[in-house]
Amino acid sequence: MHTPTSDCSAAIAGFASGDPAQFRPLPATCTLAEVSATLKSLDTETRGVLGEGDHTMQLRWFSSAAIPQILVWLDATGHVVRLDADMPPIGSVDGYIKALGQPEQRLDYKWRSSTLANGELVWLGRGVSTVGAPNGQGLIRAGVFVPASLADYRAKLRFVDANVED
Amino acid sequence: MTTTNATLTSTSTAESTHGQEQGHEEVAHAPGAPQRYGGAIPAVAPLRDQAAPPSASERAYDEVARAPEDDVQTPTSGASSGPGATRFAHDASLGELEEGNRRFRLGDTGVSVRKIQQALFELNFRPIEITSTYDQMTMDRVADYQAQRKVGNGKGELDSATFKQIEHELDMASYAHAAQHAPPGIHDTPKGTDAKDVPVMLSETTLLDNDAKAEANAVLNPKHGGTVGAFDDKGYEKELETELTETINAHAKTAHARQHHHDHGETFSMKDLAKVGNAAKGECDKVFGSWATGAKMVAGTNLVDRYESDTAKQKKESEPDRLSDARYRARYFMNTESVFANLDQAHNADRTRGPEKAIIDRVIDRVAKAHEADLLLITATWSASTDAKTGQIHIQRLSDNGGDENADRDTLWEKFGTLIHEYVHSLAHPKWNTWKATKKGPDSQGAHTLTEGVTELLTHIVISQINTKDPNLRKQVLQGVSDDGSEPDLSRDDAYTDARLRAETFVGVIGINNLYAAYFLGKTELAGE
Repeated sequence: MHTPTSDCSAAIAGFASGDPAQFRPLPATCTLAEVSATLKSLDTETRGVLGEGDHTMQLRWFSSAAIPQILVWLDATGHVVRLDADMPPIGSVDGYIKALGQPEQRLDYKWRSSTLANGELVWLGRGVSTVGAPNGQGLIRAGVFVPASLADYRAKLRFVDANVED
Repeated sequence: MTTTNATLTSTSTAESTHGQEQGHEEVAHAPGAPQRYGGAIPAVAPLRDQAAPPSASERAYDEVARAPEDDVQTPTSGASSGPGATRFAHDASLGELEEGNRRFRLGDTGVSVRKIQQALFELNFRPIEITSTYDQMTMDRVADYQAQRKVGNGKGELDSATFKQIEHELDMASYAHAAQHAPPGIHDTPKGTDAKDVPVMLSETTLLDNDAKAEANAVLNPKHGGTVGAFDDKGYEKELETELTETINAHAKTAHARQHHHDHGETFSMKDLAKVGNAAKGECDKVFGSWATGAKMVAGTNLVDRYESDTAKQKKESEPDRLSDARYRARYFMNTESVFANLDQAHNADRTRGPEKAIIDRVIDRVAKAHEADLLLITATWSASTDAKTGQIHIQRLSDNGGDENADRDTLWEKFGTLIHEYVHSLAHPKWNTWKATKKGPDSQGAHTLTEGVTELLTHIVISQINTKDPNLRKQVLQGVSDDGSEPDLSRDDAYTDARLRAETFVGVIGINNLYAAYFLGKTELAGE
């Protein structure tokens, strides 16, 4: 059964607001059409790699008033499995905890040439993750995803930062 | 003339006389079966496991594999410096052959023979089986080659003149031609098509036996091919520190100049650079489009200013992260600049051993702390990079030249070359990226060869096909800068040269189509995994 568009739209718009209090679980059935109806397309499509299992995804680039670049990750069936932002201009770890409660998981997060111990906060049931900036000033990544088990999140839905290729 | 487009299907008489029934391992070219990827059940024993003593060429190969001092970047025995010579570099047997001190004859065996068979296959002298044995079929194909090229004695023994002609023919243009055997778009990587669905892309690949895999890995990381002698530590630490400091100072000079240009607004617009980038994409797609195509470059999304994006991230770092970044860049220099490899050679240093590793770690730590700010600036002003996880390309949009139109023209062509390189990076299959990451370690020449060397080799292959007189291309690249009609310098002589040369020698072992299948389709077993 197809999830009503409004659930997808609400989840997409919630993330696009940048306000974790507005975040809603991302349904498993959201499509690119629903994203396009909610966010502004940046007319960019690349290949993305998601999860510790290096799953190849289609990556589409959008923007919202609050977040200039939102990455939309689509799996092979064309469903949206994650939305996220690199260096989102708004939000803080404290704000996320205030809105969502204590995270279910804190995972080590590799960023640039460092490993940020317990740096990634994950709310598996709510389908939310975020990484605070190491200097305490804002976030370096935030995302929403289709709620999943820890194993599935790590293997398929987690964004794994890579040292860029020179 | 027996040059044909036939594929590898025939049964080698040599195979039936070389005891393959003793086979017990993973080599996958069975008698009578194609040697392509996905071919028949393994049945061929490694020749060096057999009872017969190794031939002269095999012994030579073994010597090469054991010789840690050999610099794989240097063509063997005074071989010419052309691309063919690079392909066959670091092979004592082929060096002797080139100098006229030996010939390959019926019954010779070893990886050197394999390289010749691979070369003939790529030059379309078929049928030929890649068996590492100079068998009758190989003799026949060499004879065909000699007859057609009017070189050698025409009897199928490989002599110096024939070898040199083969070397000469295997150039960047021949690699480009090999890439274009299927229509563009047949494999569309962003859609996630698996290579097994496009068997035509694998039809020109050949399976690697264990010896070939060992040779491929030795080429990637020469020191791992054998044992290094006793470490001569006298002066090593001080020399290392001096060289590293000088290297950083030299790069820092460029970095500060670039920062100055950026701070003074001497930049191209990202929109203009996107046009240059899409011209680069167009040229790449003409050559590699049947293997993979990547995203159109869009300013501000998948094409961004590296200096701005990197400094923004640096501002979010804590002090330990900044020091970690500084160490990363210092280690990068140590792993990639030839001066450090030369220093290792002079001191018999093997970075995988404890004493050497401890010294290197100490030096990197000291130098990174002393030069942290410069190292971070070097990273931020690095010419370009590609994020393997998102395909985002980061490039400096600095004009470098303060509005000098002649200089801007040169810079735009340079950026065009850089964007070819970065676009090629974006085409690398995730499995390739995963595999090459396993080559990282205390001595990561292998990872560097697979990351930058191979990408730069592919860049050169694309450049070999570019018509720089094409007015549309010139318009796309030069845009607002007047076109004086001059020939652009796309030689990229200072871009990862050592790693590129190693990559081409790597191709000599695995074959160019194996490289394409591994890089673009993730068939890394065809590259020696």
